[in-house]
Amino acid sequence: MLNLIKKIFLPDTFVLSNGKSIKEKFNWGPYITIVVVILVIISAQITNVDINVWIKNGKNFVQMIDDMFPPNFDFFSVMFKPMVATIMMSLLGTLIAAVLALPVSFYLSSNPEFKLNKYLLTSNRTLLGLLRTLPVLVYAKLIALIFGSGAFSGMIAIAIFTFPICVKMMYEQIETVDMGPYEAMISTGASRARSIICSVFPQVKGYYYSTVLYNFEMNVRSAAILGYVGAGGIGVLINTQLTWRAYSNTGLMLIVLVLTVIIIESTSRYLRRKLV
Amino acid sequence: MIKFNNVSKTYPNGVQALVDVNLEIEQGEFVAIIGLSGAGKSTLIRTVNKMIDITSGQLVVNDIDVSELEGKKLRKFRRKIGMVFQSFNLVNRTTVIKNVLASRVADMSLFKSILGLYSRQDKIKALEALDKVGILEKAYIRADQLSGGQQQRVALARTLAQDPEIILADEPVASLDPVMAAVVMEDFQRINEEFNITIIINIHHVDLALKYAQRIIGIQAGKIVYDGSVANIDNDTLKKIYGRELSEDELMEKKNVKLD
Ligand SMILES: Nc1ncnc2c1ncn2[C@@H]1O[C@H](COP(=O)(O)OP(=O)(O)O)[C@@H](O)[C@H]1O
Ligand SMILES: [Mg+2]
Repeated sequence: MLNLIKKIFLPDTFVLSNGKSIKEKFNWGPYITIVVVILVIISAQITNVDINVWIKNGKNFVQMIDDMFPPNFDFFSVMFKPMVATIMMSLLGTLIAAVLALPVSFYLSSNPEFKLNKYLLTSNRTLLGLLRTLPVLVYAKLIALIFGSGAFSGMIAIAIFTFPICVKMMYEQIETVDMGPYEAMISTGASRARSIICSVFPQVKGYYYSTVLYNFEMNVRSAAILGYVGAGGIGVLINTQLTWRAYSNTGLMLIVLVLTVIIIESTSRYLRRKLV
Repeated sequence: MIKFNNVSKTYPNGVQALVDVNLEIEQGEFVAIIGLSGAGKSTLIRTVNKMIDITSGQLVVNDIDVSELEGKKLRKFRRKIGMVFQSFNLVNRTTVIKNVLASRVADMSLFKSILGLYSRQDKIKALEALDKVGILEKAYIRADQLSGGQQQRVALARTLAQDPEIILADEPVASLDPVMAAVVMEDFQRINEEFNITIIINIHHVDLALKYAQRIIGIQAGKIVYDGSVANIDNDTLKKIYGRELSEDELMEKKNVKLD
């Protein structure tokens, strides 16, 4: 038993027939597993995981689902506009973020050939990292407080949330490109911006479009709940219909939402496969 | 004319890549620079268009003091100097003609370069450059579908479309097979003779240097140890440049150089 524990947690030493000995590489695996198990137990306690509650409330949940069917198709005329608004605010927010992110991502790439100041690079990246820490719901709440509620606020919130993600995805890709063509462009007397446009951008173009699509996909999904904090779209309607216990209306909205997300996701996945 | 006066280059890490170099290269010469790996060949040619800054001495190209160039003036100066690389440095994902047109971008507005709006004149110029190296029919093929030799000829066409007075080539045939290497070297020779363009070529294969160039510059540990016409080279000189007998790897044809 003690031997088994030793074997799992401590590196072994092998002695060869000619007397040479070599020590195994230290393995973090078992230690990490223990830490993860402990974390899972702690989080279950913090979030009050209680199987009995699950069973009891599960019945309410089943009842609610049951009330949603058959969905009320007459409600479609009411929900159509907010649904389109949800998609539009995701699309525009993503596009604004992506367009702004492209030049910035070159400015934050650490390729030595760009000859950018290392300290400036690190501090700007840190700043961007801070932007990335807040969830989109927080931005939506803040923006709704400033610009008032509505889809416009949702769009701005999505743009602010998506911008640092796009920048990071792009500069990590830019750091892997072949810089030979860039050197060739610089040697022709082209400026840095022109050299990047002609030699670096073509190498990351496919990845860029794919990044935009991926973020749009993500944003459509999260946009549905932005209405809860006053940032417009279908979320507003879901919120009110649920409080009025109009479950058959909610049912229709959920079905349309799921279908929309599935259609957007599969189209986007198809396009992305073609791009990269 | 290119004139090095006591030029030295010391890298920030302390490596002395060029030591007190003195050279004069006239317009229209075909010069091969030979020497061991790490001797300073790449550094030497990159100082000519200020891709690398010299640390002391004076470098004058066509009456312009290169050290003083910066920003717009430097970019304008580089327009007249073409550069060719061992790894071709083409953008693989785009067409041959777009690669050649890239050398026209320096003179275009940022707006036009973003949208790729090349003028008809530029397109004709690019096609003519491709014709000069004999691959006009490949213009609309993606660059990565060409053989290594063809890719290097595209790179040469890109440089020609720039209307250069000088072409700097850093080991342009090192990654090609002997047949393609000979074809590309003949392109260089023809361009040199027909358009009176100065050609400075770093070359690992001594036999090719002797066959195609007019003048050889031998460099060892950053110092010029030989500078003279191809005709005056003998085995002793080569031994002096390399510090040993030539190895097979320094000959493209894998046989001894025939010296008269
Ligand atoms: N960017 C650099 N920083 C520091 N040392 C360098 C740099 N580039 C080249 N060197 C050094 O300078 C010397 C000459 O290099 P290089 O000009 O590339 O030689 P060659 O082209 O003849 O092989 C070598 O010792 C090389 O290690
Ligand atoms: Mg070199």
